[in-house]
Parts: sequence; C-alpha cells; structure tokens
Amino acid sequence: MSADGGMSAESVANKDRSDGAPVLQAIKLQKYFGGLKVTDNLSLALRVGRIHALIGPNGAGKTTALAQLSGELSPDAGRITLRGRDITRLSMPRRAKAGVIRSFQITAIFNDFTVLENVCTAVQSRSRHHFSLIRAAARDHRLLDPARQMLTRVGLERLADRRASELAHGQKRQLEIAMALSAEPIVLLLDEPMAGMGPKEVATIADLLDQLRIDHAILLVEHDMNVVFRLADEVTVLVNGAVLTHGSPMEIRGNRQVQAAYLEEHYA
Amino acid sequence: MRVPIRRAWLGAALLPVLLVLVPPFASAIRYPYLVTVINQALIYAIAAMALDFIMGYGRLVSFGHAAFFGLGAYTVGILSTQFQQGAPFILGWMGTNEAFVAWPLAMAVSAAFALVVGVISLRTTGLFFIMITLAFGQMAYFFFISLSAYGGDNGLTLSLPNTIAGSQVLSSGVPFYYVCFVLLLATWWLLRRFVNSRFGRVLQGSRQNERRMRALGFRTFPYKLVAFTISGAIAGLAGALIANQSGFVSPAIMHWQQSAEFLVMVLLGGLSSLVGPIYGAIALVLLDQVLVAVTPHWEIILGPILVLVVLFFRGGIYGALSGKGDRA
Repeated sequence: MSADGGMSAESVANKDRSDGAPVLQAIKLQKYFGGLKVTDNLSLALRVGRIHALIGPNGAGKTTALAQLSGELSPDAGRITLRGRDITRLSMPRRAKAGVIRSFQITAIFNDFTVLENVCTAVQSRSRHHFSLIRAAARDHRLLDPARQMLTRVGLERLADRRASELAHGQKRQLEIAMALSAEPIVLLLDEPMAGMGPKEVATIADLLDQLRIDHAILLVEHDMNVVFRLADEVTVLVNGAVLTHGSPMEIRGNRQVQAAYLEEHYA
Repeated sequence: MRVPIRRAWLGAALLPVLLVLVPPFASAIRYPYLVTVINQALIYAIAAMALDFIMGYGRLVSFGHAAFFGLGAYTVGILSTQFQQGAPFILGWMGTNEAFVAWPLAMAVSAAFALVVGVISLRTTGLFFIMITLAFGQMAYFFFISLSAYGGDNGLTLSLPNTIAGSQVLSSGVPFYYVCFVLLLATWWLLRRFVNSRFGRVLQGSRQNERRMRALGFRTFPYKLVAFTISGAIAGLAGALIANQSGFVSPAIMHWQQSAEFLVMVLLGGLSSLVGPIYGAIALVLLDQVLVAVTPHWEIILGPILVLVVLFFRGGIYGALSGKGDRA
C-alpha cells in the first residue's frame, strides 16, 4: 500500500523538486450532480515548490474539485495522476496514505480529544502500528514528540491539553492545518484554510505555508485575495465549474475577464 | 481534568472493594441470596461493558448483543449436554464440561458470529445499524427456538456447572462469585487498555468524525470490525457464565428484550466509561428485585427513571458519582 516504496517523504520531495514535473495532475475532470455540470473539463497540475491557488466566485465548484482530487468524490470522466500513476479510482484513505492530504473548509477536528490527541491521531496515520491494542497511546513518544513539534510550528503549543471543542474558531483552523501536516503529505489540498482567522493567525499560517512550499505541492482554495496574491505562484480561476483562465498572480490581477467574473463581485 | 482526583477515584476504585465484600456481608446478615443477585449483576455487567466498548467509544449501537450472550450460553449448554449423554458430537468429540475448554469455545463461537454480523452490519450506520443488529439478534433467537434437538422453546438444563481442571468448585455460590468478579476485572482492565491504545484512538476518532479519519488515511472499517468482534466474544463469555449460574439456557436470553436491557445498563450506568455498566447492571438487577415486590409491572417505574437519567445525568450513575458526567 505504500506508494513511496519506502522512500522518506523528504527524499521523495527532493526528487520531485529537482525534475519539476507535476506531482499531482488532474486531466479533463468532469462531474455532474444530476443534470448540473459542477466540474467542466478541469485540468490542473501541482508541483513541489509551488502554491497553486484555485479561486472563483461562490458556487464555482472549487470544493467539488478538491473533493475529486482528494478522492472523496470520483469524477464522471477524466483522470487524476500522482507522479504519473493513475489514482482516479483510489479511495480517500488510500490517497491519503499515498501522500495526498486535504483540509476541510468546515473545520473537521475531533472535538472530544485534546488538541494534542488530535495531532497524535494524525501522526499515527503515518505509522503502521494502528492495531497495537495494549500500549497506551498517551505515553507513546513516537506520537507525542512529533505532535508537540507540530503544535509549536502552528503556534498552538500552549493549548496542547485543552479539549479541541473549547478552542476559538481561528485556533481550530490552526489545529486543522496541524493535523493535515502531521499526516506528512506530499500534496496538500487546503480548502480555505484561513477562513475565519484573525489577522495575526492569518499571518502565522501564511508564513507557515510559505515555508511548506519548499517541499510540498500545495493547492490553495482561498477567498482572501491578499493572501492569494501574496502566496500563490500560479492561479487558476474557476467559473461555473470550468477554468476561466490560468496564470501568474500578476496576469490574473490584470485580467479583465477575471475582474468581471470575480474580483468585482468582491470589491465593487 | 477539572474533576477532583479523589472523587473520580471514588467512583472507580470503591466499587471493587464493595464487590469483594458482598459474600462476607451476605453471610454476616444471613442472606446468601444477595450473593446470587449481585453475581447475576456481575455477569450482566461483563456483557454490558462489552457493549459500552463499541457503543461508548465507537458509536456502534448494537441492538443484538443478546445473541452473542445467548450463543455463549448455548455453547456451554450444548457441550455439557453432549458430555452428559456421552454421545459423539462433532467429529466424534463427546463435548465437555470443562470450563477451560467450554468458555474459550463460547467466546470463539460468539466472536465468529459477531464477525459475520459485523461484516454485514458495519457497512451501515445509525438507525440502519441498530435495525440490522436487531434483525440478526432475532434470527439467532428464532434459530434456537426451532432447535428441538436442544430443547427448542423449553431450553436446556445443565445438570452440573462446568468444572475447573476437573474440580467442582463452581457448584458453590461463593467461589463462582469470585470467578465472575475476577473475570469482570480482567474484562475491565483489557477494554481500558484497548480504549487507550492506538487502536482505541482510531475507534474514538471514527466516532467523532469518520470523514476526517478517512481524510487522514485511516480505513475505519477493519477497526470497527475488530472492536465489534471483541465485544461479541466478551458477551459470549458472559453468556457462558450465566449458563453456569442459572443452570439453564433458553432462547429467552437471546430475545431482543435482553439486548435492550444491556443498552439500558450502559445508559443508566454511564456511557463511554466502561465502569458505568457495572453500576448500571447492579442498579437494574436490584431495581428488578425490589420493584418486582411492589408491582409486577416494575418497568413502569424504571421507564421514568431512565428518562430522568438520560435527560439530566448524561454520565449516568458513574458520571454522577465521579463528577465526570459532563464529559459524556
């Protein structure tokens, strides 16, 4: 089941970075909800070292596209490849194991667990010892040490023993990202990671994404245009499920079609 | 965590001490029947704790646990009947009355049935899961009703309880009580380890947010199936014990009402606590004894009590005692 054949995520990322080929590629995806075409001939490529922003007005099909990339929905037509291997029919858990990890637009954390337990569960997803029935997970340093490091990285270390349900909204979003990262992804699919965060938290997470870019291929669905234009290396604009245009942030900013379809809706 | 340590400790640690003291207390007040009653509660508690393991930590509300309980009892009953008759049973084997053989076999039979039921029912969730487990439970019930070779509707009588390494020690009440007590503690210890292990984390994560677990790369089905099978095996052990205690096995113990009683024990005692079902089982058995003297329709009184517990004491009896009620 291991997709990387024993190579560490880091060495895989190094290889991916050096050849510049797309790690995750979507080719002509189509998806219908009944008679409604929600994904229309969508192609996009994610490369290590680049943040690819997916933007578009509400209802453009961004989350549906992300669901197909993560394996939660399967496209009606088209292909998805991970390092050239066809993963179109691979289930969400298997894709996650292969290194494609998503975060959720609506925060999906384990409310009854502490913050630390949440991250430990994500760390555990990378190991092969889930069926360990007797050893206490709460004293397992192979889970605790990486989890504590991750909490420090996203700025939640002081809240480690707090129950997740007691966190403020922005903190829950930080936890959501910590969990996605703890699963050691190669491809990160982030569905509006900064939605509802305060300016300080946005800055923390933006800095974090900036660092993560080095050894991850990142798809960023985001509404905050300042964040998009600051972080993105390339931008795909989705309207009615179809790609309106694709280009560098500079090109997108100057594109009149985009302004008409999307930006004016926000800034008018 | 905000719970004072002493109070939490009280809820869990006082109980074993009290339970150990039941036989001497009963003999001091010259009321040996108390041992029988509490012993029955301990046996039910084992099955109810097994149910809490999947219900409280995996949100798998099984409405068919009486089937696993009953299968364990019938395994002991049938093996013992064959042994008494001295007739070849399976592949020339004569059956057995030895606990060290019959009880693990009871667990294995129940586990095997739980595995089959689990493979099918765990594909569904919520209400559908409840209905499918109920259906399997009733299937087992009607199977044994029509199994005339082993008494059908009338059930089976065990002429002697199981022997332990050839010794008849289980035929007297007090040693049998302590055997059940030790098995209850062992079940508690084991399930606690399971719940707090990596395996338990996956089970509890799936309860809270299955989609999240899948997005992290966990295929949750095998975990649930293993938990369900373990739970079935432990319910089978409880069944083996009840057969020994009552000296009698009938399809009635597989009826859905028995499954419902296990659910009530878990909710009354405290869901997601493992200890709670012990309180729940004792409370239910004692209420049965006390209220039945007042009215044969004692459920009329039990019903409102249960409603009040579910409405105001989510943590059940154990939650109220230990102060952990808010956690459930």
